[in-house]
Amino acid sequence: MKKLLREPLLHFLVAGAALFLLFEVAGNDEQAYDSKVIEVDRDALLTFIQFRTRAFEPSIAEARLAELSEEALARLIDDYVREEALYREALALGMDKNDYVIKRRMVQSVEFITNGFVAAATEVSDEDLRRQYDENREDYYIDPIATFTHVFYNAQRHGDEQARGMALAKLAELNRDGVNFNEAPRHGERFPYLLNYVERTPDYIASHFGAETAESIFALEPDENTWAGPFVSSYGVHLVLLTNKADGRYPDLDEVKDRVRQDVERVKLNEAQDRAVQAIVDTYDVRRSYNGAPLSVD
Amino acid sequence: MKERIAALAAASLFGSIATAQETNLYWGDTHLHTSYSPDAYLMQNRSATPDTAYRYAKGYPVVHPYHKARVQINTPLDFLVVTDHGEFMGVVPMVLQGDPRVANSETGKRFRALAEQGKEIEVFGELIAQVNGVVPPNPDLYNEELNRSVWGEIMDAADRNNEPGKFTAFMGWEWSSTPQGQNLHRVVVMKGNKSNGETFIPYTSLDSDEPEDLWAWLEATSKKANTDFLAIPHNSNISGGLMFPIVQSDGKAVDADWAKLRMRWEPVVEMTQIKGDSETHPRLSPNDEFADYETYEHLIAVEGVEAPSMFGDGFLGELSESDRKFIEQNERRVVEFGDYARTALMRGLVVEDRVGANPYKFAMIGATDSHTAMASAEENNFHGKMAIDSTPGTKQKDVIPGTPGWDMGAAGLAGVWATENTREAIFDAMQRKEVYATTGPRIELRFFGGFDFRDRDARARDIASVGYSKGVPMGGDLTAAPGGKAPSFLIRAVKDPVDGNLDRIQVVKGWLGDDALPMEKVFNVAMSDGRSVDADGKVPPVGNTVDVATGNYTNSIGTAELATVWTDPEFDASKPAFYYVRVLQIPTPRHTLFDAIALGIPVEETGNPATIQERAYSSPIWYTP
Repeated sequence: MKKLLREPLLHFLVAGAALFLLFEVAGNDEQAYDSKVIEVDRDALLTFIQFRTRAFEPSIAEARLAELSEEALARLIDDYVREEALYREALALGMDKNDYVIKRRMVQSVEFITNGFVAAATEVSDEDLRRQYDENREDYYIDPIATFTHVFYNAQRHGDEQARGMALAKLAELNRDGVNFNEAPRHGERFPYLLNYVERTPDYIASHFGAETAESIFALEPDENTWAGPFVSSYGVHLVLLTNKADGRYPDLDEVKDRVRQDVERVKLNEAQDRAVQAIVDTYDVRRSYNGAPLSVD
Repeated sequence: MKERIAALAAASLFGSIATAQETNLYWGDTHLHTSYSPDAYLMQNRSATPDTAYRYAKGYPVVHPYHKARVQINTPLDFLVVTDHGEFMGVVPMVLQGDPRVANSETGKRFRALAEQGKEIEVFGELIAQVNGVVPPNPDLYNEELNRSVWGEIMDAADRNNEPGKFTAFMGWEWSSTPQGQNLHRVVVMKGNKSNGETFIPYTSLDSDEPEDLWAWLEATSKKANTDFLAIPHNSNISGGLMFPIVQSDGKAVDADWAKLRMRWEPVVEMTQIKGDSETHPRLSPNDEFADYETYEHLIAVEGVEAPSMFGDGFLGELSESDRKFIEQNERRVVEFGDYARTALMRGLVVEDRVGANPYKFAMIGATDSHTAMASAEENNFHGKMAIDSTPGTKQKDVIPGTPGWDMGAAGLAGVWATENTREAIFDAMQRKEVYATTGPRIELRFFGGFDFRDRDARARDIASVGYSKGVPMGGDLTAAPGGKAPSFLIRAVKDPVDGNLDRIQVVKGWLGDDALPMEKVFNVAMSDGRSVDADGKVPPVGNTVDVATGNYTNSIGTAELATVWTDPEFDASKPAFYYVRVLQIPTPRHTLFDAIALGIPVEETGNPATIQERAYSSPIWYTP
């Protein structure tokens, strides 16, 4: 029997069979339950509508109810009566007390109500945005970026030493002639990836030049007239003209407001639901008699 | 800041010699499911929504819906199309989370009771039966009000996440036609925004499972909604030969009108993804030593059996032992021409010769078709086909009867050569077929065809400016060879900066031979490590540096970049032909090798090779006499 009680599915099936039997045997016995009367009054329907639409706002429900066509009203009443009748059958069977499926369903339906209230109440104030932003600044950090062009010599073709020599000679020429950003393509050789790197992050640059060279590039000061290098990547040797650089930064709240707002909404929804559930739990006196299995000490 | 970038861009365009590349390379996934897809939800993706999908694609860390660990893409994407199944889109989460619009309907209540008893699979079975047309759609679950509401949410998420110039978010869905379990799925991508999308609700296989009806709907709706669409077929490899047919749905042979209509709406094919690679099959291309790549033969449609089918992609069925055996024993069948992209391109030439129009003149892309909301095509960072097969232990189990998670490939991305990163520019690039497929790595590939290329063009500083000025890019057409001169092709491939080196570039040629018989041949045209082509046209293997004990490899073989000009040595100016490029990477670990190492088991137990040669496939260039 203990095993039986631990089998919720079986339990459910047995309950179903019992229900069937009950209908067969006692279906006509009006005294079997406290009440066989289902009152369909305005209040009942208003409550019903609010649950269904998940909008717990009586005035809206009143308006909806008033707008219903005769046919729609009949359907609503029919739904209500069916639900109420089945619910009472279940109650009469004590399913609310010991049936796990029903218990879960009832819990969900209360959670559902709290959710509905919560969803309606989620308004995000400026202070909310500020607090979310201040407490989670790392989430909104913007990576540093660099803008540069480069002149490349292919080490695979020339060998490391010669490529470096060519680059050194070219470096003097570039600085002497004041070669600018847009003239870079006239010098050096084809690089597998890009010629111009515009507002790229350290990760991106490191994936093309290696971490060390990326770091060296970010260490340069922007200067539209001075070529720097040589820098070595796994492909060859580079001369770099860095024209712009921005440090990593925490953006103004305004810049990331949409993202922050979405995050606040998510957090608030969770918190409000927790609060709503906790408020319900708080009305109960919880008496704990089981404190876990004793720890075994070796 | 924007003005400064614009000024800089303008300066580099006009201020110097022709360096500006007319097109930039953007990477994206055109086929991704979230918890809004019923099969995804029922396979334990309960939490990863379209917003999650965008965050992952943009490079933000997200929580995996199954194992709840923090996951993050290695290299962010430039664009994404969230394409949940149109059939019962978003409805299962609504039912199981208690949305009153469905949860309190008779069906809703029943489904919730089933789910509470852990019988999600029965819910799934019921939905499949409707998708496969066994029973009519249930109006509790499939009605205009629901569809409009979910479609609205999907469009809102796309608009929220679309950042022109930085990240493009398209609106789309999947038309999941699966007659008798044969996969005819198309991903539908809309060019426009929410104001266009609000004028309709997605067309699904519950409306019709015939592609002709889909095209007619696209035609009418594009006018009504004042926007444009693409329908992208995928998984031809499990279509039972129906994806690239020579017969229309009504039984008539394919004619010129049908061919033109198909090309109007389906200029692009998704030919590599998680459920296998659909380039070709070793039995179709016996002379192609690289044809057996991520071959996926888990056909579920079996003669004489009511197909348990694929609602979309996954089915974690609890079949009876005898059904399972029967399916496993019978699932392999003769490969058909209509199953694979290469034979379809060849078939296109045959049909054109017969009726005057080519229905299979398509571009090729890859996509993931992941159901986790994570566009993960990285072998060392793969998060499963479904949410449930996302850990080494759970990948071991079947995702579809007879198909363990290990048989899924970490594949599929689309490379797009577009003028800028916007909905319009990327959509236009797809329509003009200047797009290509990779099995995951971001291999950069330029491919131009013309009659004036010279060897030295391969060494040009700016391949693209030479290519565009002397020829047509991938997806283009050549015709009327001057004086019968053979076309030449300017090709350049560069490795993914954070992946393996390149082994070789190949050109796959298909043409119409004598008696209008379709022919194919693979040419090795550029190799790493000083290797050359022998008398049989073969090249020695590049080698393999993967250590199966650690999963490490080195880029000590292969090369970062390959470039060449190749001229067809067997050209016949009177015969129609197509040419596409296949780039092979050096061998690198398959995702299952990492699982085997993690589980401490021999890699053989995964039933898959330790290493694979990942690849890029260009869209073809066609020659028409």
